[in-house]
Amino acid sequence: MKRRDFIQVMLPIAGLPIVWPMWSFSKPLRKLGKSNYLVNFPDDGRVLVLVQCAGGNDGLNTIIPYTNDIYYNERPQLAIPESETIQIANGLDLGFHSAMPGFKSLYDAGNLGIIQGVGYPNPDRSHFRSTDIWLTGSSSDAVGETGWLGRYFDMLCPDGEPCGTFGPPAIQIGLTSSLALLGRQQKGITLQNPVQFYDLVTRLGEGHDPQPGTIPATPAEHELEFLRNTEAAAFQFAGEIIDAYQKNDNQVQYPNQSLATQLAIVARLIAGGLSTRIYIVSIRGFDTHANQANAHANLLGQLSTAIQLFQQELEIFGVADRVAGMCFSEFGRRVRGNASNGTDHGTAAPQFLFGNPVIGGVHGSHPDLANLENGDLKYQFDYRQIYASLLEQWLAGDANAILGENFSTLPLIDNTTSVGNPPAEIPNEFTLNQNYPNPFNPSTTIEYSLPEPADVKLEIVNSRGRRVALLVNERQDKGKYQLTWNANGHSSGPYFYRINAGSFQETRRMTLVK
Amino acid sequence: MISNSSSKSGFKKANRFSFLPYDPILASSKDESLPMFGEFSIRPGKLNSSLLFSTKHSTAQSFSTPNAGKINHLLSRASFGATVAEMQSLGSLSPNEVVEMLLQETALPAPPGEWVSEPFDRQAYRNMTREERQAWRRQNRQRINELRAWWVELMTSSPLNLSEKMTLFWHGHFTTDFRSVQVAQFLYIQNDTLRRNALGNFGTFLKEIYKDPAMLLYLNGVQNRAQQPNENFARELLELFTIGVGNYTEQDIKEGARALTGWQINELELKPFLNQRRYDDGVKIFLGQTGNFTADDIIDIILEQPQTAKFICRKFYEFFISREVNEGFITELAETFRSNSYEIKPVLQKLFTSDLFYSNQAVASLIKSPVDMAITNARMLSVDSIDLRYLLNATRDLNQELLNPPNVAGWPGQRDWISPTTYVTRNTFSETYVNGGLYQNPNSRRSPIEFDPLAFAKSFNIQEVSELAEAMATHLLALPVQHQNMDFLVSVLLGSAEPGDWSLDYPGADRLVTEFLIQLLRLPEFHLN
Repeated sequence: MKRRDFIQVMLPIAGLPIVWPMWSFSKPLRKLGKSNYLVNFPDDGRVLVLVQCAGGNDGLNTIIPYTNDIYYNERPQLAIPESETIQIANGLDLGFHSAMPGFKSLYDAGNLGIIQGVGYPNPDRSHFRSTDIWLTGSSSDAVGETGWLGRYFDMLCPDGEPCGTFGPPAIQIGLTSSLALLGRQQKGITLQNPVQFYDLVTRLGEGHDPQPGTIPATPAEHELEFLRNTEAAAFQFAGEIIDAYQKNDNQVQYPNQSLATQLAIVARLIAGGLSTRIYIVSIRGFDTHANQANAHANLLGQLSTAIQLFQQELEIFGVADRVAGMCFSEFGRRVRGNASNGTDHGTAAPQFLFGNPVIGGVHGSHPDLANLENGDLKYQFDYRQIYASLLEQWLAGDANAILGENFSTLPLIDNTTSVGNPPAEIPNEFTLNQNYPNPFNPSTTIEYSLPEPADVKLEIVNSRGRRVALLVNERQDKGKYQLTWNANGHSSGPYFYRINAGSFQETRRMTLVK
Repeated sequence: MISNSSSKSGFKKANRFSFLPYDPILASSKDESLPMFGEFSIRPGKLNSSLLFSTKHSTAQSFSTPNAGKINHLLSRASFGATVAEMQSLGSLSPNEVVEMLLQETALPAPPGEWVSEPFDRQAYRNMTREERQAWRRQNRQRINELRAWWVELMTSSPLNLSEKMTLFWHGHFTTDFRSVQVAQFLYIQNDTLRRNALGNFGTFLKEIYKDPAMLLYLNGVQNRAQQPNENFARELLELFTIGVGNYTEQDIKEGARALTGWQINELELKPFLNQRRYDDGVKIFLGQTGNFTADDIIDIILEQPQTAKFICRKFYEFFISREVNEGFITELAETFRSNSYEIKPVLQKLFTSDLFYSNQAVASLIKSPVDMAITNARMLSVDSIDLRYLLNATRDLNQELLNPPNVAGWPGQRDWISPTTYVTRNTFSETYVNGGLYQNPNSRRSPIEFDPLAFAKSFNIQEVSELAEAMATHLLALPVQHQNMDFLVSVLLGSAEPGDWSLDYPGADRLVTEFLIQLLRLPEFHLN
C-alpha cells in the first residue's frame, strides 16, 4: 500500500454540491486481494443515523404536557409553564421545550416523528445496563453479547463477505466503538474525523502487501492473513472515507458544538457517496440530577439545532430522501423532581425519528401521569418496536431474527418516498443479484440491471418448478432495478427467481424460512 | 496515590536468582518523573538491564540459537516478554530450566496502599450528604485507578512473571466488574485472591472464590438465601468457571444455588461470613449425588467431574498455546490436572515443556491482548520509563480495561481485539514507545514513554548493519520477517550510508534506529505472539 495511491484519489471538489448521490457507481479505490468491498449489499443508498443522547433524557420537559396539573404539582421547580413552550400542533395540548424551535420546524415539515412513552418491561435504572439493553436490543433480564445492528450486518453480509461497495458498513463518530455495531466482528469504523483517521492510517506507510498465492498452513499464518486483511480494510476505508468527505464542503453553518460538528461530518460522508448504512453520533450530559433547567435547555437546544441544520444540509446535497434518523436515550427521568432541582433516573420517555422518509407526527398518546409504577411512567411502546419498524421498513432487515422475538411494528417510515431512482448511471452488463435478506421471512429484495432497454420477465418458481409469482412482465429502460417480494402465504423452502431480459437469462435460488 | 516508596517495599522479594530484585532506581526516580503523569511512571528497562545483568554477552548468537528462540517464545507467553539484557542472560539456558524458574515460588507484593484494609461502612455512606458521597466516590475511583496502576506495574516487574500472567488469566476467568462491585477494597481483595491462588490448587481457589466479596456482589451471592435463592453465581460456576455447558442440568443449578445460600459480607471487616439464618441446610441432589451439601461439598463434587479438568485445561491451552486446539493434548493435560489433585503447576509445567508448545502449531498463533502488548512492548524494547496512566488509558481504548471485562465470560480475545480501528490504534500506540507522542494524537510531542533508541540498538553488541537488523527483528517479532520486508528494513537502518561504512556511533544513527523500529512495529506480524 503506497501513500501515492491515496493521493491519486484525493482530489477534493470543494464547494461543489453534487447533484446526486454517487453510491451506485462508486468503485473500490484499490483492489486488495480479498478486500475489494463489492457485492451482495443492498446498495440502495438508505442511511440510518442514530443520535445517542447519553445520560437519560427528561422526556417530560422535552415534550411538555402543559395542560396537565399533575405535571405542575409533581415538579413545581422544574415544570415549564405553557407560555414557555412551543405548541406542537393544535389540539395536542403538548409543547416542545422552548429551546427546540428546530424540532418544531422539522415537525411542521412532516420530518419529525415523536414516539411517546418508549421503554421496556422491568426497566433497569442503571445507565450502563440500560444503555447496553438499548444497544444490544435485549430484554432487561438477558445480557446481550452483540449489538442489534451488528446482528443486522451479520445477516446481511455473510462471514468474510464485504458489506457495501464504498466505505464501511457503519461509521461511528467518536473514540470508542459502540456495542450496537458489534456482531461476529465489530462492524463499524470509529473515527473522530475523517482527516485524522486517514492520517493515522497513512502514517502506517508502505510496506506489506499480502503475498499473493501463499496459503496459510499454520495457525500463525491464519492469524497473519486475518491481520493483513484487517489492515487492508483500514487502508481502504480510510481512503474511501476521506475521499467521500472531501467531495463537498459543508453547505450550512453549524455551531461549534460537539453534536453539530459530528453531524456536519456525517452529512459530508453521506453526500460523498459512501455506501455506509449506519452512522452513530452522540451527545452527552442528559443525566440531570441537579440544577437541571439550564443544562437541559442547553442540551435540547444543541440537539434540535444540530438536527435541523443537518436536515437542511441533506436537502441541499440532494440526499435527504435516503436518510432517516433516530434520537434515543437509555431512559427517561422520574415524574417528581428531586431536592436538588433535578430529576433522577426514570423509565419511559419520548424518542424521536427525523428525516424525509419518516412519517411525521406524534405516535401514541402522552403518558398517563396519574397511572405510575413506583413513581415512574409506564411504557407504551417497547423500544424494540421502533427497531423492528426501522429494520423492516427502512433497512430491509429481518427484524424477528435480529431481535429474537416478534415485535409489532409501527408505521414509522413512508415507503412511498422513492429513495432510489439511482441516477442515470448505465450498467454495463445484465445482472441478476442475489436477493437479500436470504434466507428471508416474509419479504426479500431482488435487484437486477439492464445495460439496454429490454423486455423483462421476472418470475418466482417453487422447488417443483411451478410459478408462484410474476413480478415483472414489461419492457423496461436501461438502469438498475430493485423490487421486493412478499412471500406471505407461501410455505418454507427453496424458491428460484428467474429473469429473462432480451437474450439474457439467469436463475438464482433463495430460501424462505418461516 | 500510588507512591513509589510503597511500591518499592511491596515488590517481590528476591528469589533464588538474586539478579532479580526490585529496582531501587524506582524509589529515587520521583524527581526525574515526567511532568504530566509522574507519579505513575515506572522504568522497566533500567530495571533489569542496567542493574541486573552486568555480564555482557557478545554477539548476535544469543538471539539466533534455537534455545533463544524458544525462550523468547516461552517468556512472551508465560510472562510478559524479556528485555534484551534478560534475553542475553536467560537465552543461554535450556527452555526447561527457564520453565523451572518460572514456576518458582514468588513472594506476594505489599498492597497498593493502606486503604485496602479500610472498613467499608455502608450505613455511614447512606447517611452522607450529596457532596460527601461525591467525595467518597471520587476517592474510590482514585483507589481503583491506583489498584490498576499497581497491578500493571507488577506485570512489568520481572522477566519471569508467570504468577502475574496467571493472575491476568484468572481475571478473565473469575471475572469481576468495578461497576458492580464498586468498593475498591473488594476489588483489591479479589485481585489478591487471584494472585495467591494463581499457581496454587484449583479446588482451594474455588472454595475462596465463591465467598469472595467482589464475587458475592458481582454475581448476586449476597442475595442468595434459603428463602429466596438467587441462581446467578451457581449458573456461572457451572457454565463458565468449572464444568462447561452440556454437563449439568437446570436442576443442578437450582440445587447448587441452595448449597451456596447464606454467604454475606461483613463490610466493616471486609470479610465474608455464613449467615445460618439464610443458609438452606436441607438435602440437595447435585450432579447425581444426594446429601446435606454445603458450598464446599458442591465444589468437591464439581472437582470429581472429569469435565471440570478438561474445561480448565482447554482454557489453559487456548490462552498459552493456540486457539486451534489439539483435543488429545487437552485430555493429557486434564489427566495431569486430576492426578495432581488439581494443582495448577504440574499442568503448566507439562504444557510449557511440551513439544507442541514450541511447534509451529503454537508459535506466533496468538494475537496479543492490549495489556500483553502494552507490557511486552515496554519490556522487549527496554524502555527507560513509561507512564502507567497512559498505558492504562490505551488498554482501555483498545477494549481491555482492567477490572472491567465485557461480561461474566471475560474477554473473548484473539480476533476480537482487532478491527480496522483498533488495528490502526494498536499500531499507533506501539509506535509511541519509540517515537514519543501520544496514540490519541500522534502529532503531539509530549512523551509519556522514555526510550533511548541508540542504547537499545547498542545493547545487542552487534556492529554489522544487517546482522543487527536481523537481531532486533528476531527479538521483537514472533515470526521471521519475509525477505523483501527484511531488505526494506535493512535499507531503513542503513539510511544513506554504505554497509561497510555504517556505525551506531555516527551522528544521526538514533534517528535511523527509531525509523527502523517504527517500520518494524508496523508489520502485521508485530500483533502476533
